[in-house]
Amino acid sequence: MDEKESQTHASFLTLFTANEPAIRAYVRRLVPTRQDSADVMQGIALVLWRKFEELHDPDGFRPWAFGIARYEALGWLRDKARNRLVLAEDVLEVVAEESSQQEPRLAAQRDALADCLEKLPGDQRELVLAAYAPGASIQNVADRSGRTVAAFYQWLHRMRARLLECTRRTIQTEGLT
Amino acid sequence: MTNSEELRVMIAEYARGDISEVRLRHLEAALREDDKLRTEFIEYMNVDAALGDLAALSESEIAQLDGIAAASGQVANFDTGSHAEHVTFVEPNDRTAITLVTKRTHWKMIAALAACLIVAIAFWSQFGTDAGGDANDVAHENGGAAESVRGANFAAFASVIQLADARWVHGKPLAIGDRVSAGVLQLESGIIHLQFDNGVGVTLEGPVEFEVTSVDVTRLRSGLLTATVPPGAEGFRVDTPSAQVVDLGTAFGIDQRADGTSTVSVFDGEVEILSGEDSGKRLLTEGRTVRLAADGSMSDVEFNSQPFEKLWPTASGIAGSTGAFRFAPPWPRGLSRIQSDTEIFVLPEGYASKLEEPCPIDMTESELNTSSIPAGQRVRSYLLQFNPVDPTGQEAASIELGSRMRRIEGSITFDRPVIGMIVNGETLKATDEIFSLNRGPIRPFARGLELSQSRTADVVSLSEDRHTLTLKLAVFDQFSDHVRVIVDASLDDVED
Repeated sequence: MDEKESQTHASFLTLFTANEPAIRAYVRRLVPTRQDSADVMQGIALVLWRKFEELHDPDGFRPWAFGIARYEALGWLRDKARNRLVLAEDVLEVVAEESSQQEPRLAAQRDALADCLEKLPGDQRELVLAAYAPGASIQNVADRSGRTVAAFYQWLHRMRARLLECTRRTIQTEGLT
Repeated sequence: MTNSEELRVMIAEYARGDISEVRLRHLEAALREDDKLRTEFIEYMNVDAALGDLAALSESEIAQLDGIAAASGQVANFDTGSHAEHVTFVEPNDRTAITLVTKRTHWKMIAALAACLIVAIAFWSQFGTDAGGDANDVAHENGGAAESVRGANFAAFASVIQLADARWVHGKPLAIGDRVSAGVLQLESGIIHLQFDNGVGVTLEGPVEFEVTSVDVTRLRSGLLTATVPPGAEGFRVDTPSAQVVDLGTAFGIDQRADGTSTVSVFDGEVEILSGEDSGKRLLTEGRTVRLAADGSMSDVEFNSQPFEKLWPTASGIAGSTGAFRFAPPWPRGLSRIQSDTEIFVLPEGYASKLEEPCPIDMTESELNTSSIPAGQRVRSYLLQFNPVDPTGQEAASIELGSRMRRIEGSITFDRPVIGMIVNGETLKATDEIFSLNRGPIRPFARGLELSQSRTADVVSLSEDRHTLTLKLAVFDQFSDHVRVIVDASLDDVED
């Protein structure tokens, strides 16, 4: 690994690390489930690295990465998810377009989420995070909360709605809507 | 028209990968037209992704993963030289654990990087191939084990709410309260009542073979089924060997025979039947039955609800009864003409639904105690009716106390807790509008109970667990006694 290559690695890593949550969140809007977005992200990281030298302006990393992510995600849906229930491509195209336009607000929303979670009572926050944790079994999390799975789903649905509402309020007060 | 809350539910279903085709197309059409909904969709997914990120970094999770890493003692090796797309494991047979380890390595690193803003080339050898890995997600490396781990997350769609004399063909028997995930359910005999998370109730009588695919896609391979589909859950589908039965907001039954023929009867509302045959698509309305040949061709036959009658009490949420209680078929409606000297008829009143206005009740315990159930509560109502034919005949369950008076008693057990009872004539009348739509005229006089200390008084008592109601009624001449029972039907039994 020579000096120049090391530098390229370093700058890619810096940019990718800084932008990865945004890219994943972007991909998340284009595919049905979180598993799918994980799948697609694997490929995207590689493509971004391979094509990294085509990017001339580091400031343009995010829109460039979004462009690739969109292409990869829609391509993945066509190939890998052919038999799956997926939204029509024209709808996803619009979602992709609007997502890009709204990214500053969406980034603020993601930032706001951490604070909103903090505002929840500790036990509720832990349960939400446990439900979203890698490999979480809803059955176990529901048991832990003393609810049936059905009740837990409903509860989670309400908590998510509450968090969404909180993030909306936060970005509204920040004047980002 | 689909309301916005329903569309939100569809978004949630889509996001966990168990939306039905019908509902997906519905959501798709709405998203295409409604830019507000699109923004909502985008924000939902945005928060969903961000929650995953936050969860992946939570302390408890890291501790849990540390445990797995320590227990498995396995190490992941990445082929870094060529930025290879595959990951080589030391022990490929335990992919779940190994992938957890690799994901965790990745995330710990991201966290460190984000925190310190230090980028070290030395990390590259570990970072390389897994850079795109999503810590939300376990083991997404094509592994079957991964699927089942993941599957545990969102795979249950229904709960067992009632069982009667169930004998299972094989496998682990289900118990009341158990969650039902995708899979095949085989009952040799007996009855099972499933409540799907969208409110659909399915009752099956063995021998039956029934497959659950998702919250609104099921398959009846053989046996007897009735389904009640409340408003909002339209689109619920039962596939049979020769057709698809799509519910449009109804109660219906399917009798699927082993020889491949079946009959479909609609008790209320309508269903759509799609078969592979050219005859294709058929809308079947209330009070009609079609017979399907094994090849899917359809022919009209006389409406017959008799095969399903045994399922009705369970399907309607009645767990059991003793004494004078008799169950009246919930469909077709308009059964106020039922008369009997010896029986108290249980008339389920339509579907479970959310109260649009507060509902007054006369009793919450065994004493008179006026209060009301708030609007928004999901309830189901039953009318218990004693409607004597004439003042003479006497039978087993009634005890003669006087020449013109009969006493009749029995207990009825509901599968959900009773919230309250309505026994006062005025309150009954006031709540008829809420619960008795589409019912025949109800006699407007002397309907209420006489609750007092006298020995001729009516007695209503509720068991401690609120499931069993005992009635001791005294009735003079042609006067009838009615009790309306309001039962909790919330899909979410925990309120916070």
